[in-house]
Amino acid sequence: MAFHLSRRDLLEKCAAAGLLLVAPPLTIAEIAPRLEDGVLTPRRPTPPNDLGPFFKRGAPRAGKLAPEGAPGLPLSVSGQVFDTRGERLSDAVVEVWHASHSGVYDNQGFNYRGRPPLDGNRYGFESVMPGHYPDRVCQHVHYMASAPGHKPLITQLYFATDPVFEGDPDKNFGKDPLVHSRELVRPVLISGDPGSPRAIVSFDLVLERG
Amino acid sequence: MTPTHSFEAEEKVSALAIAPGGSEIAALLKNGKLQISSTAGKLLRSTAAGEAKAYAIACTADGRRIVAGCGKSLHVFDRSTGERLRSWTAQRGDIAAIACSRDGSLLASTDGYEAVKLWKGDGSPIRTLGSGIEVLGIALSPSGDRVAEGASDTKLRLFASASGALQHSLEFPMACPVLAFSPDGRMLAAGSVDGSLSLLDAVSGEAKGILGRHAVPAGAAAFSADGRRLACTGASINPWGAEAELKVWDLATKREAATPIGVSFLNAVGFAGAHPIVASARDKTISVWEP
Repeated sequence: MAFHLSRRDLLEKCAAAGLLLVAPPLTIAEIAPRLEDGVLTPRRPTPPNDLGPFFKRGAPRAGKLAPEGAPGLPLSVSGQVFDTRGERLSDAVVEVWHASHSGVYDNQGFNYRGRPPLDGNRYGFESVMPGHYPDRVCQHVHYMASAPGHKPLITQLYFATDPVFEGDPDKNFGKDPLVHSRELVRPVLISGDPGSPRAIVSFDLVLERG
Repeated sequence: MTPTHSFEAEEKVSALAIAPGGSEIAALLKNGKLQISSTAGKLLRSTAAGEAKAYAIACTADGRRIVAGCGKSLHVFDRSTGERLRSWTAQRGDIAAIACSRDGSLLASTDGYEAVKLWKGDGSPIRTLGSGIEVLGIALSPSGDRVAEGASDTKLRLFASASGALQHSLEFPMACPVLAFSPDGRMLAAGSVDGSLSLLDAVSGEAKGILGRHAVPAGAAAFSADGRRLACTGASINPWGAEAELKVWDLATKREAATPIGVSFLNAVGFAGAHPIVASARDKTISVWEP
């Protein structure tokens, strides 16, 4: 349900009308964000996407997916796992896999494959930016997420910096026939030293109950 | 290894098959044509096949028919004349894989997303069956009584054609898109994305173990007509990955012979008697190895 006033405006209006008293040293600015702690925010489910032919069973629990010294732009991806009611799913299992910098999947071993452990409902992994390979247009990371009482989610993450999108993913996300949703194309933050930049991406997962 | 023959098709190749007997190559081209050549490259017959998006072709084991999936439609051709006998709309999406019974009286098709569809050879629909989970490869037993399906969830499923009932489901480490029944229908070869080639008892569903392994995903597999030998190629999908090989096993001794065929994504395998043949296509060039 949408409200017209922000939390802070609501508190200030109530305080001005004598309907709210805030005991010092607390201030309205400090307490406004915590006003709705414990209230769930409904979320849209993450759009699904193809599983693809390169899923491999038995991936290890791992947060570092690339072998030592692997070529490619270092990549950090993290996010939270929710359900559509907004519940934080700390019992979720997240599995990811992707191609190497040169667009090759490790089908004989488990490089670039793993089940990053969760910290609460937050997952994160480090790897390298996957390369392009024939038969797929865009760089991508495959995801499989599951949690008790929820439908499994199979999806893919794409990168707004992919040259295929020509700097305009809103217009060009459909250049890959498998990319059905703009939501799966995530912005990329480049951070670090000039000599060792790193790509940082945030990608929350929202599972449907079922 | 240098190919035995190398020749140019009139347009880029999108699907390849080796006819039983190993003397002819059937190719679907991106100009919508079906081209039948000798293995040495002599053009024998050429006919309009359908749409340019043609990714699936198979020859019936009795050598009489060629079946092609072009766009959403199936087409059946007389192999000896190249004449198109019938066509019908088969799937919602572009056909990704097809399979035939020995005489072509039963056909199976998939676009990779819908459930597998079974057809009579005259185009009449029989039923849908299968998992409906991103199907990568299908095969029909020679008699047509069973359908094998390899899906992205790494499961290989066997279904009874008559009822559509699931008979067996086996889980592999990775998906098995390459499937081939032995000529007597008793064995099923399953080639996986991880490069392994496994044998299964096609009746009991019992896994008989891994016969061998490619360094790249399996590409195509075929039994010899007497069922004594099995050939399987790898499919190197990336020029920066490992190269492909043709591997041939004597099924009695399990002895393996390997022939390198370079970077080869689109390939087909067959036998001329006891001798394996592999054909590989890159753009317009078709290369044939007869080691």
